[in-house]
Amino acid sequence: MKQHIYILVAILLLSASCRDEKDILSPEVELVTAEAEQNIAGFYLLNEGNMGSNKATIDYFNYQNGTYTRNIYATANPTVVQSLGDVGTDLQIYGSKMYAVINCSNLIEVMDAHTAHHLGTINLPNCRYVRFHGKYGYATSYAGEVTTDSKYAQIGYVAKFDTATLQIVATCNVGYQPDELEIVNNRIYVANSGGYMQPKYDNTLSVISLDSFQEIKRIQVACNLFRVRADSYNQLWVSSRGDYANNPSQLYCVDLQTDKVVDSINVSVSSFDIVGDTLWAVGNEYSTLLGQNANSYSLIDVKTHNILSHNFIADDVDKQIKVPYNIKINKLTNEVFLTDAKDYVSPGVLYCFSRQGKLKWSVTTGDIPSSIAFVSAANQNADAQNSISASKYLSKVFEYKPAPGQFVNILPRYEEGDDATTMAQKCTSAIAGNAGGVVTLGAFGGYITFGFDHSIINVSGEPDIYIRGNAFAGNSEAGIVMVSKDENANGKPDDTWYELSGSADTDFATEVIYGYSITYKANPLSYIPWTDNRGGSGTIDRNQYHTQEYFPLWLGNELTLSGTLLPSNMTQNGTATTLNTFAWGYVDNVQNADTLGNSFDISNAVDPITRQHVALSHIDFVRVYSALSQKADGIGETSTEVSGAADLHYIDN
Amino acid sequence: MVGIAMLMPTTMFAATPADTLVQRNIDEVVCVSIQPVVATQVLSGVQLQRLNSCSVADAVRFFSGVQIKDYGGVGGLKTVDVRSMGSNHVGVFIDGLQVGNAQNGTVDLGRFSLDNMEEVMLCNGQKTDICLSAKEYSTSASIYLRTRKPIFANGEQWHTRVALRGGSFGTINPSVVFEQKINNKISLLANAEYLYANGKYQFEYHKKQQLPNGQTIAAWDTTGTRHNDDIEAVRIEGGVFGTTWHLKGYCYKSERGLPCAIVRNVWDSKQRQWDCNVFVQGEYFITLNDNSSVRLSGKYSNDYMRYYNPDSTSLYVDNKFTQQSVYASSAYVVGLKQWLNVNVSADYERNWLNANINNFASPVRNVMLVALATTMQFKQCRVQANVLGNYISDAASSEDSKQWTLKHTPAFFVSVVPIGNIRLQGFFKKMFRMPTFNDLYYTEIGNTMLQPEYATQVDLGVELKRFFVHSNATLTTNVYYNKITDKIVAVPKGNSLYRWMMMNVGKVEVRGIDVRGTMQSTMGAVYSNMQLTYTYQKAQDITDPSDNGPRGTYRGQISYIPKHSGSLTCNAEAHSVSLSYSFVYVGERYHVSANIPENYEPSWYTHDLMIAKSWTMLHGSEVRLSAAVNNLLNQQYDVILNYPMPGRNYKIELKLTI
Repeated sequence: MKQHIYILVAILLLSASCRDEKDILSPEVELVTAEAEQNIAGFYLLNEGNMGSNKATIDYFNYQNGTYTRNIYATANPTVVQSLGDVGTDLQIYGSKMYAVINCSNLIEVMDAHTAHHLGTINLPNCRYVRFHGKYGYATSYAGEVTTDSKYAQIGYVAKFDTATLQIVATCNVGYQPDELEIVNNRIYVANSGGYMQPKYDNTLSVISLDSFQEIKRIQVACNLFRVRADSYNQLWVSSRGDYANNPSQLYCVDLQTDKVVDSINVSVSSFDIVGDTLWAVGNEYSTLLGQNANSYSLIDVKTHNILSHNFIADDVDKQIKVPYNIKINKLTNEVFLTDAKDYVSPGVLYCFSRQGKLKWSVTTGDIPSSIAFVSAANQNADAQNSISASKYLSKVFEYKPAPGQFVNILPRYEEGDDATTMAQKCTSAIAGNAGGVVTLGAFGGYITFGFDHSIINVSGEPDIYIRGNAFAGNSEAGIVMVSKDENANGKPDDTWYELSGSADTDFATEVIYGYSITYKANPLSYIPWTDNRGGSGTIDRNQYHTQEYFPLWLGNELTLSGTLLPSNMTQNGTATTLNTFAWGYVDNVQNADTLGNSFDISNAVDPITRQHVALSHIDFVRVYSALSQKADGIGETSTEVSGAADLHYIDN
Repeated sequence: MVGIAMLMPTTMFAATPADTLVQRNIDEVVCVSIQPVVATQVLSGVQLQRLNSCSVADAVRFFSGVQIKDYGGVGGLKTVDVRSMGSNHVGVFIDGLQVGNAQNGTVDLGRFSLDNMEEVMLCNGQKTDICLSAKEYSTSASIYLRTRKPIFANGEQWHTRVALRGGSFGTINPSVVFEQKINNKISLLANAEYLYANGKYQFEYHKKQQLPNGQTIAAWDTTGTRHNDDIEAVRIEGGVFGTTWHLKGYCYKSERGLPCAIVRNVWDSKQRQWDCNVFVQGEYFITLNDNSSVRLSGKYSNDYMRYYNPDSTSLYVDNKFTQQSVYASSAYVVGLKQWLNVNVSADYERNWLNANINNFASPVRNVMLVALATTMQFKQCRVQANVLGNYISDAASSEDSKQWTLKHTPAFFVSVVPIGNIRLQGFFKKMFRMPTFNDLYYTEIGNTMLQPEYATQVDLGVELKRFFVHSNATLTTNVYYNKITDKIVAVPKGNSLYRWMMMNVGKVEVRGIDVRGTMQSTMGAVYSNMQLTYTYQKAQDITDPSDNGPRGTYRGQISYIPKHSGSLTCNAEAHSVSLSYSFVYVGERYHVSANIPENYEPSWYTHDLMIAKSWTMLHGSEVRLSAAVNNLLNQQYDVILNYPMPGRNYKIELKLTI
């Protein structure tokens, strides 16, 4: 028996060395909508995470391809100790930076608005909300001076920080436990809650002059103030949480001319947003009578102060919502985003409604989904625009031959009568110059061929071409770049093609398949079968999000495409799919903001089959093709998307 | 147990001589015990000592079916959950009387020192002995702590034991026991213990990242020191023991730091807690005639607690709570037939809670419990069936907060011995736990509309015994199904952050297997024993069937309950040297019932080693020196998210018995 014990102990000791440890959170991608939207890049959503859990996370919705990615912060910033932190109360984008207020971590996390990369932090104890004006940010904090004269009390303050240096430059004391603030008419209006003083809540708005950064007055409104927003009629809307006893939650209107409360609206408000003349409010009030929470979804006309609706949700979705927590309207699309915090400890839900209150889509988020910050398309492309002038861009799409896929016949849209020529023209309109549109290449082999109004020189030791896709963290849909010289000088891409070698040629040398060829057969509105030149077969599957035909309608009934097949980059963790990034050398592999990662060196040109290196002085045509053949649960086949290209050496006169 | 066996040896138990078992450690206690209807898990005497544990909580980890929630450190809160029913369903009894906590319903087992503990026993369902108070029927699982009673060798008038323990975390822990024989019937015991620890320890967090190419690299590492985890505590106990009665007093006073969750940018906390727990309890057995007897018991307790948070980055709190309770019980047992005993018991308890909080409800609870139980013993079969009547009324200063609860709850236990060394057993029990004072009346959170939370248990098991020439072994396996309904959980309330209220909305379904094997052997001068436990629990949250998406909670494993857990303890001793090894394994878990990567917590396991030697001195006195290392491999782990546990730590003990 003794021997057995020793063996057992030895096994246990050995087993200890290979104990499973916790990884930082990986992004999880989900396709949530078919609608692509060109005018806006997407939005970030901050999940608060319950107190003590250190589970504040950031999700990203990509308007360009309708995907929702959870947990982008940790992978974007793998070396930030303890990741984003504990309880994220507010998220704002101002200029090129994004600010996440992390309440119980006593700091504001400052990130690059395009990449969510960590730039710095502003230490601010018990910080709550942040707004901006000029080159300064203004954030509220509960953690001011303590007085113990009669009873313990702690005054709050607003900290003013420089958005360039991220240093706090001044503070201004306000009331007790200040929450939201609004900057209007050169003044800051701060909602003092007095949340720590229960049952003697604060009931005032502090008014701070931006010039002197001194509190100039108090406006008495109602107990336990929370949110504050200005409308376009010189009015300020302020919500009170109520005292949870005799005074219910209400909405108040302050006339900014007189700084007087002019109206109170009898609706319960946990969050509200104003677009044009409409104030959208969600409330969640505990009813002693019912012994449970009662939710409300109100619409108020800020001009007339009339309640337009007590339930703006048109379908029965409101019955599914447990705790409406935050609301945000996309002013460009008129979409209403509403978060459900459910039980505060398990994942919440983000609902997207049309302006008419019809559910468009919903997605599971992190814990306590709260603040939303939109990224405009202009914002996202800013990097590319700044570094590349208009004349550098690709000028013409010669050929567009996508493989079947869920965005095919949509990006760009096929219309009755279109042929190869008109489809190529549509691609030119979408991505030539700096149009910023998106063209899908479908599944493996689908390609696009384009050119510039000049040859692109191969500068030794430097990348030469920038090609934009629509990748984001955890969603690499790698495409291979081919290049060609106009050898016969006919201006047409009918010359020898070379491939630009990428990292997979060495990283996955034994898994890459050269000379792969695949044949798709049309199968209208059904799964599209394919066979390959290695005896394999499969289908391109349809999904609920896209109901159009997936086979390119202008390309007949059969389509054979060939090239280099990259090994699958898909990892599945439960239902979460990650499409892992290759190290370098592929289109639509890393985020567009990563200029270098989307840049290609002509010196990497090789023969597509023999892989022999080819020296090219310059090139005239570029082709990009989808280089992965795989499908993931929920997000379907992997297809490269192309949204533009530029010559990196072009000197603009 | 001992008491009853001594009181009623003739008629009632005459039919079961095979069940008496004599423990090996004759010098410690001669325990002639009646086997209960269903088997219990027991750690006693020397076995307990060799687990190298500091507190009862550490020892309880070695039972199957048990999970400990441990916030780490010497003074950290440690509560016990049996078979995933929740700690509120577990009753803790010291010397036969329950340790109550009407305020929050849970007992911190980390506070109970093993210094004077003779036995720790876990009963699933309830104790299935014959003479129980009504309270003992009123929990869904019970942990019995039996403290030392004076025992004297022939001619001995007094003895004393002095121990000094010290080690990691700046721990200094002296204790003294003194026992005095007054006459043949009466003896005295006094016991005092002091504990100080600065509580500091290093911890590390390592996080890795999965790279696109499948490789794993380090993401971030951090090392910190656990602060504000200090404790200073004094425990003084005294007792007078007669042959059929005892009376004891207990006083525990402590001040401790409450360490915080380690989150980004927060490494230290300022929260403090002061406690003062006092109780007096007694028990008296009266033999009425040959086949009937009465057990009378009573208790008064007074518990003071102050919680103080002066941290300027969070809500300032300085709350003081005082709760008191009085308890009296009378249990009557009569042997109607050779095979039939009937137990009737009636208990009364009254609890008060006061606090220095504005508009505090100052609740009072009156509890009347009446139990009727029968135990039938046949040659190969035993049965216990009981019904418990619960009459509970609450009153609080707010006018609408009076509530009455009248419930009757049944339990049924059976065991069959079809052939010699095999015993089949099973039970069914339906019981509830009352909403606590915090659940009902705590400012803001409390909900006076709460109803009791029910636990229904069905259990089937088999116990195998095998005797060899030099050794014996047992193997007990139980499968069970529990359902918790009307579970009291905190749900968000109204328009704000972090406002919660308690509601009867939860439902949990538990399917589990407990396995426990023990082996003892004596070969020449070497005595060895080994215990192996394994627990499988599928404890599913079935609260919200609509939340059944891939990231949903429906049918998710409930928080902090591993599917697999287990332990191993081995000891060997020869002459005066003993060597012990213990191992605890807790499998992967999730923080909440949404079983997604964000909520994942990896498995952990610790290896503990101890070596001890004793020397016999003049006049039979003994010196014992032991040295122990816990968490030998310095594993870094959390039991509760963001509450890092200590790595490798050491303990030394010197004990002198005169």
